[in-house]
Amino acid sequence: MKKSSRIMSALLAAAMLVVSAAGCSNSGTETSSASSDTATSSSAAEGESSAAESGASDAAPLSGKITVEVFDRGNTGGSDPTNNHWTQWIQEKFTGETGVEVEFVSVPRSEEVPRLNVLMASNSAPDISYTYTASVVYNFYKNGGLADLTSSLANYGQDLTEYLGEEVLSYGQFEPGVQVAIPAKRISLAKTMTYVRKDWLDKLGMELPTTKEEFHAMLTAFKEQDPGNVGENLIPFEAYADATWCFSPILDSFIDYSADPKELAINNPAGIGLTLPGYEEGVKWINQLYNEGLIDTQFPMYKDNVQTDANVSAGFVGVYSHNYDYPIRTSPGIYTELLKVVPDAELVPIDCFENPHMDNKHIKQIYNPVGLYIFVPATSQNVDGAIAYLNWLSDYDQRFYLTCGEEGVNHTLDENGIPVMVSVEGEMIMNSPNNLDYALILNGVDLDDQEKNIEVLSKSYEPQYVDLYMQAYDLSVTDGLTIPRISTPIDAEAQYTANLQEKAKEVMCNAIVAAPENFEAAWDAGIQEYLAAGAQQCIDERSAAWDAENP
Amino acid sequence: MVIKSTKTKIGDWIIVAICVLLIVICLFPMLNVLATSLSSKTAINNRWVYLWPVEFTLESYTYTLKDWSIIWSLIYTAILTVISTVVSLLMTILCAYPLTQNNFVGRKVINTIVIFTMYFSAGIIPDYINIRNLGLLDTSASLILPACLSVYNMVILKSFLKSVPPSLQESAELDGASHWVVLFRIYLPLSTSVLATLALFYAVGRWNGFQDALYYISDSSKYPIQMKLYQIINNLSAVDTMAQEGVATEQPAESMKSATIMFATIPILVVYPWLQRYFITGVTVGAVKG
Repeated sequence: MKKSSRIMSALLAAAMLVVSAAGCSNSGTETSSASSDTATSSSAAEGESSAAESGASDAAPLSGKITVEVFDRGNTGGSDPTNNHWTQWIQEKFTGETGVEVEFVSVPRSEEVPRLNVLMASNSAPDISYTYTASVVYNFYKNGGLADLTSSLANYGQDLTEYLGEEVLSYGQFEPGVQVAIPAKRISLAKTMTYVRKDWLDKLGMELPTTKEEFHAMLTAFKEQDPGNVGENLIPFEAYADATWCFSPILDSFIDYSADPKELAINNPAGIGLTLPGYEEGVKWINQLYNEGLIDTQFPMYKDNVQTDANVSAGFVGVYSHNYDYPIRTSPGIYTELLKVVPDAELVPIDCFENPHMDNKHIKQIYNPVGLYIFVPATSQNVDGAIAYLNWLSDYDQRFYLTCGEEGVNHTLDENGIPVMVSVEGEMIMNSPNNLDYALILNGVDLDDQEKNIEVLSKSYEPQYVDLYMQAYDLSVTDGLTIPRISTPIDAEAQYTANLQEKAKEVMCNAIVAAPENFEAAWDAGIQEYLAAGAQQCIDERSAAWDAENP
Repeated sequence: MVIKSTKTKIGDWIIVAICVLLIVICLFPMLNVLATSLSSKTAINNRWVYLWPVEFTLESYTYTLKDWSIIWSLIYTAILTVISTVVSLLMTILCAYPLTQNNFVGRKVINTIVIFTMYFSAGIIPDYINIRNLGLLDTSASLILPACLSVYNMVILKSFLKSVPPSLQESAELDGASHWVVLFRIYLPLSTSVLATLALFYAVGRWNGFQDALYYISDSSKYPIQMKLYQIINNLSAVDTMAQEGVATEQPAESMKSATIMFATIPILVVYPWLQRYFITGVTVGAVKG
């Protein structure tokens, strides 16, 4: 009994192995039939498309099909991102002009990176995929997951190359001359701005500050005289745990941007500038402000903006730094809330941090001129079709229609011919502002005139804030600059970025709250930890990359 | 005698105190969410809301109800849960019963293989490739089939079936009953409490689960309610949105988020008290050996 049952068990196990092996080999043939049913596969088994792709000669006609990724933002009342008025318009026009069919694949916006990773890993990413996170694109590039777009771009992407320009396209070349990603053009370059309660200044009879000294004096006056009669909740300067962000207007005035470009470039791993020349001085000044009681003592506890926003809209705060348009965004709408509680309140953007290294100009960092990173997976069967699609999108008519919509429905033209967006429900609803998710190659509206573009942006805010917006934008980009870039992807950065960002915030918070006599020790200790956490590796690699790029 | 009863009382009071503390810790966040969903936007922005609604308003609920996709998602998840539970129970029964039969050839081998999958799994990417190759991507079947058999639950049922006296089966077989008859006419009627418990486990697991939807489903009409909730709650911070998109994208208000959370939680909260006793007995029923 025992012996035979053992033999039976062995035979059974063998049978199971044989069955599973047979199952595996079957799945090979099943893939092509299964994939043609599912929309997420890019391996469309169409003979024509592979001929078009492998031929790659100038005159090869485009055909076949491309799949395009689209974000699903899950908006209340939004339309199906893969099938609505805009996708139908695109399909009709593009297929009509080139004969290439277009199909949309949706990816949830909040999960775009993990989902993209899964799609790429299983070789089912759409022909046109994209992400905002550059490090993700670096990773794909390192693992050979990106198709080389250089020749397709030369053959089918002339308009696109002209529209984006050398500088923007260079962000998508990790080796000089080899285009692996198409970056989108970013229209709004403004980053941060500091807002101050002008009504408090008026009560004190003070002017808007124009220098750091005056700024300091203003904060001290707020603290000592409490012009808003706030009482014990008074916060002269509101800050939050993301210290590298909320103090960046101040720090930009201490960083020595006139230093050797290599110094600047290598000390900026993943955009974190703790080791930049002059940074420590800036943190020291902030530490001084903190120890004088001018900064919210609770600030390291504010991991998100909920409490700080509440403080501003309750009228407790005198000065607040954040995104350049933060108080006037319609949701959460801090300025509007503030006016409900304090009807006389007035928030005004100020630009008073002079940088002694740069002729006392008010230097600010602005964004790189790129937004989305669009790429074509190496497994795509229709690279030419994908580039032709992007090329078609860059044409003015397509751009205008997708970003501004139908005249009289999605927008109206004001007396200067500037489109003013109108929010629409129903069929013509735009799921993302200015159809960001369909326009792809640009973030915003581009009327081929930067001044007009900013005016268009301003119209998307409530009418009473339009002038404030223009003012804030102007101030945010005046004397704006970007730190010199290193194009080769840095492996260490891909690995350590998330960690370093958290570490930097920690180091900053610790140094700022330290007593003045302990500042040096706290800062040095913090920097040691920061370097040990991977920053040193990043800096070394950046140094080597810079030398290689600039012999 | 008097001293003994005092000691017991102190012990009781300590236990009661700890339980009250735990209740408070669990209850307060829920009350806060409920209060947030019933308060006005100004009150929320100014952080006046703690446990009680401030400036009571139903606008976030009316706004949420206007969004048909959330209601559809609720209905869809309910239907999915029912179908999923039925399929899962069937699979569990059909898997557990043969493993209790001593004369089942290869029982030990199959048992080991099945238990093995409880501890080791291939990971997300192989699962995804598998589902894709089976053509199940973006279908409701991908939410039902891969998770239909939980080995843990199967083991509970198996232990329980083993605890039924074998004489019942023997006498039935003497009367000419086949395995199907034994299973459905004898064992199942005896195990209603265990089956109810397993049904509850499966149902709650399906209701709360969203990771499979996250990877397999692209069509938003097939999102379970938790996935819908995840989409609404999990938004980028204002800094990241500006840094990435350069435009002022709308973000759902706190009150909206809270209202949606209540929508997703209330059905389970309402159903739970009725099924509570099954949970309690169910957790212990698999623990008794034999």
